[in-house]
Amino acid sequence: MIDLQKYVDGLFRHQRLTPEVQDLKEEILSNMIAKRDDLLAQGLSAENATEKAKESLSAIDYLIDGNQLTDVSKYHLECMQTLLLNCIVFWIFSLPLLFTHYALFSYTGLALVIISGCAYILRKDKKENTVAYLSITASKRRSKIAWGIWGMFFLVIVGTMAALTFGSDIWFGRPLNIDGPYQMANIAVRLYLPLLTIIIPITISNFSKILLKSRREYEDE
Amino acid sequence: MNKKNKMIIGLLAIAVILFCIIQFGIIPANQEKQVEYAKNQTDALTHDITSIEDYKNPYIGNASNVGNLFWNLPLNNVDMKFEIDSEACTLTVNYLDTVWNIGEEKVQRDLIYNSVAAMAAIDNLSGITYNFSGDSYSFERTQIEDVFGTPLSNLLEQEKWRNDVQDKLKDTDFVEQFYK
Repeated sequence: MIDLQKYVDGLFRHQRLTPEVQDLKEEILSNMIAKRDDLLAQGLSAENATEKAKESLSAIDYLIDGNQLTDVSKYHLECMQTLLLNCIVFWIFSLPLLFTHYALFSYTGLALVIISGCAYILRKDKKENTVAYLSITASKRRSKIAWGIWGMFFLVIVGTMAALTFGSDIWFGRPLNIDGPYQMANIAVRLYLPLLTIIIPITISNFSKILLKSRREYEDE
Repeated sequence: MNKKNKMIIGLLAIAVILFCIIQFGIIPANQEKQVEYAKNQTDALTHDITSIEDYKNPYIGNASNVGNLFWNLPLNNVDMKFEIDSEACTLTVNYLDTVWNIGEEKVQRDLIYNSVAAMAAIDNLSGITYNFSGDSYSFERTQIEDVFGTPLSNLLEQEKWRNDVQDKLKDTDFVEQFYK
């Protein structure tokens, strides 16, 4: 019993224990115990019966709702490709920062393009064909979390910037002074910088869409 | 080659071209202009008077305003210290160099320029003394107004400044009348 319990715990170690998954886990454990008892009744030794009961179920991924049989190699390759594309887009949009004190962001964009480009080329040359069950639910959850965190980050940063910039008269007793395009650009850049980070939740959302596209049909197994 | 790869190559080409134009074309040209502008700002004949617009003030008492004003006037490449006498409304600028080092002709022209600019920008400034190691020069508002007219603040318009101050300072005799 303890052996089977440990084995089933091991099968579920990567799963989030929702009430549905917990029910499934208990059902699998009781089925295994029943199977082992049957085998014991047929005259097998306790050790053999337990081993045979374990062999009857070696993976549970396909039993979990929201899991999808996925061409992992294709999924990873397309993720790398999307990452590279988004890094290039980030770099292009960060180019105007070269004229400001925030040029480091643009050089970071260039570095990200080089790193993701190398990673994509290396991954492209690998001839792997891995298939596995990946969780669509988890992927969608990651996407939601990313947008949530980014939304909060953006609101806090922009709110703080706006309070410091437009409320300078209240905090520091110094009126806001926008008397030319330079001051205007300075304020715009401070609001533009946090907006650029939108590429992070967009990339994570793209990964989620790629996962759906990388579905592998059962007959291909 | 799939559609996304074509998009990557296209965007990468655009990004590289834009980066090269900005990094190796526009930015060095801008820096060159800034260096040229900073160099021009150290001399009375090439100085751009609009750079002191932000430092106009009716009173001499604001020390940081006085400092900023003089760091935007000719001779700003020479270290200096200030003493303000708020009661007498006078200012002393101590340049930490010698006239010989900077050049007598340049010093004499730049000091007139700085005096006119400072008195035009600060309404109640009645006199300025400039001290160098071993030399000293003083200018009174009345002396400056006699030559450039009143009110001096009217001169702080780019075209008028160029005609009535900058161009006149090209003439050595005009400069020398202040040092007789």
